[in-house]
Amino acid sequence: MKIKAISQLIQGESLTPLKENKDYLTAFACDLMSDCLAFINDPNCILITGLVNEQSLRTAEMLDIDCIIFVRGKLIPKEIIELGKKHSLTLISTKLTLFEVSGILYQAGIRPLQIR
Amino acid sequence: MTVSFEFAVYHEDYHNAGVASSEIKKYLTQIGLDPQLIRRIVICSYEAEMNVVIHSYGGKMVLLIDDNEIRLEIADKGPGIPNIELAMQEGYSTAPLSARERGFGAGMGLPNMKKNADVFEIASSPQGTVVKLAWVII
Ligand SMILES: Nc1ncnc2c1ncn2[C@@H]1O[C@H](COP(=O)(O)OP(=O)(O)OP(=O)(O)O)[C@@H](O)[C@H]1O
Ligand SMILES: [Mg+2]
Repeated sequence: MKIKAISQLIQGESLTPLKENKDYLTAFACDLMSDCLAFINDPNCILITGLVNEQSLRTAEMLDIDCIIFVRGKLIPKEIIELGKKHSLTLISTKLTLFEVSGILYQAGIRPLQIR
Repeated sequence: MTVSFEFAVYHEDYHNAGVASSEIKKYLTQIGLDPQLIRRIVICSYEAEMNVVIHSYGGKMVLLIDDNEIRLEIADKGPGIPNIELAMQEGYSTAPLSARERGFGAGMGLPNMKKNADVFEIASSPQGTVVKLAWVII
């Protein structure tokens, strides 16, 4: 699914330029970064999280993930957006909750990761 | 020929936590290492870096690269791990609130390093903890 369509479905606000042509098939929703580091096995997956700081961006960077959706309308500091741009991450913010975003994307066909 | 890099890591410096691992990733990408291998290395590197930031008084990370092996040694200045067997268990964590608020403290770091490294060694005393990791370049 294209990121623009995903962003529209969740009433997202793009904080960095979107990679228009990239397709995403899976997502992982989590506020625990060491769980992300332990379980995310697909670099083409979207990270959905309420954790807004350097650590969530660094975690994505290490995992080769290039798209993060920040939920619950968290304020996103300028430095975080700049760091995201520096590492060519797509950052999207939405007022919806983690549960709502996950539900909407699941219904739209985005699949969970197979972690076992 | 062996190439080596050293990075200092500071206690509770959450702002810069991950910079060393980011530099390591950049370098390994530059030299054209397999992306899958890079991923395994930097997952370990970042977990280890965060452990020094969260649990230690500070320390350093040394990356050594030669033709057939990548080594990463993380050494800190204490206070050490009293029970390594316990610390290696998934879910065991003594992380303070400051670390949990930043998405760490699931007790997954050490087991995940063991999983992602070809060689994993850990030794600890009140003077410090040393984690030695290595990967074979195929
Ligand atoms: N460098 C260190 N110095 C002192 N204690 C450490 C160090 N590294 C790990 N520990 C101890 O071992 C425990 C387990 O470490 P581990 O990395 O597996 O989990 P964590 O850091 O608590 O959480 P996570 O890694 O999931 O964020 C820590 O909670 C801490 O008690
Ligand atoms: Mg840890």
